[in-house]
Amino acid sequence: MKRLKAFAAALVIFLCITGGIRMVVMHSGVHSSSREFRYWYNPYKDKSAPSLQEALGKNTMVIFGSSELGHSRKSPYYIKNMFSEKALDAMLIGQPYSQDMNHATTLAALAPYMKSRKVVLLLSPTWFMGKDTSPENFSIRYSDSAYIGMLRNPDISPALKRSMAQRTRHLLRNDKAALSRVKAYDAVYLNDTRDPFTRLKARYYQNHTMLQERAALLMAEQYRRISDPGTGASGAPGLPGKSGNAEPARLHSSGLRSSGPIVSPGTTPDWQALQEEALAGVDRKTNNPLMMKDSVWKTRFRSKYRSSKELHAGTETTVSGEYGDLELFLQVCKEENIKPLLIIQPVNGFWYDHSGLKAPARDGYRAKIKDVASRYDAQVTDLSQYDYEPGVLTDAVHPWGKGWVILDEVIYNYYKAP
Amino acid sequence: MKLSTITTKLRKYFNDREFLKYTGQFLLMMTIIYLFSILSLGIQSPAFTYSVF
Repeated sequence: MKRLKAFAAALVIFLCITGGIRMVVMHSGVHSSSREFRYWYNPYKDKSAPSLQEALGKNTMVIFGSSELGHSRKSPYYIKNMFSEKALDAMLIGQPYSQDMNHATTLAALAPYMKSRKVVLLLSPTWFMGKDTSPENFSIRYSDSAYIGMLRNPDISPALKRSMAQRTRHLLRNDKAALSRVKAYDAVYLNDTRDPFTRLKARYYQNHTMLQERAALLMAEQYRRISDPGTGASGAPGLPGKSGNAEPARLHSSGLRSSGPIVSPGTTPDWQALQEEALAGVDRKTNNPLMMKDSVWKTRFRSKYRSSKELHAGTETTVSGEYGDLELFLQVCKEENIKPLLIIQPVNGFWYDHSGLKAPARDGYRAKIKDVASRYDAQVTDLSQYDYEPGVLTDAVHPWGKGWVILDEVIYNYYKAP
Repeated sequence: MKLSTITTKLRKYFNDREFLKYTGQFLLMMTIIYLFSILSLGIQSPAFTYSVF
């Protein structure tokens, strides 16, 4: 009896403590209005739809991608370092394993809060290889708050919501906990169930996951401040320079620029010169058969080079369920009157030729992407002409200095276009 | 119940070491489980690997 009373007393105290923790976590400030936050390459930021919604400014253009957003971040040509805030106001969303379905859901959650009706989607070739998206990969990037935001978006038609819900449930088939939550959300927001137990369950899941996402984001922010007290994220080397200067900043002998953003408002960058400058910086670092960064070649590819001959031969490139997810992304754009730009990123032609995914197979997925895009009048930029150029990629798919200049030019021109 | 009766009962519980010990143990267990459940999101984010290539 004493233990029962003790348990009851502990429960009462526990409920008070959890109420206090919840108040502190949910009302703690996250610096979501800052430029640093918008360019922050972090999975917890991407998972927290409310924080992303708060971060959207008047001119903020969302750029969806995946692991390429985390490569060459210290390069002066990396998108965050290339442009001043007034030249390009963008928010990066994407992590390794982020793919079309994650982005379609996030976009649907953010769209009502977006003032700019332009988005960029950086398409990685690996998304479209094989038969379908990996359920494990999708589950890692799945966000409850984004999913609920999608379901609650009044601009998205019920038919599209059902399609997205069905696909989400299919992709979460191996994650029973997340699947259970999704079913509860669907019952409430899609099917408008009157069952009080289900409604209560959905409300509990929603509150709990929102608390989890917020707590994870706060922890990540604290860690960022401790590990990099200067900017809180990796930034360009050197000191801030003058803005509005049309001349490129000087280079150190190391090849690194000596000042801040290269592109300021009112300047017209000489993209060709920037490409040559970026290439000059890496000229002595690509002494391998794959023309990738030497350090990556030595640590990641050299040991498996021989054994990876024809490794990807026979890989399907035109049948993946990913194309359906891309369509869902474009349908969200259409229903939200958003004008998307799809960028088909280059790949390391030498690597993929060697591993059996030769140009015709690669052309296959590019053609299919364009075909899907054409049905929605979506603009597509195909960067496959850079597949064999040195200095563009650090490895098989991720951008290097020149690669970032090429992407920056495409994105900037799109941002500036009427 | 009179306020004095409530106060007497509470004083009895607070002076009961065994009761306090059980309450503390239950509270600690609940709090740890709760903190683990809200912070678990923070320990499950894999980074990029080159295995896919």
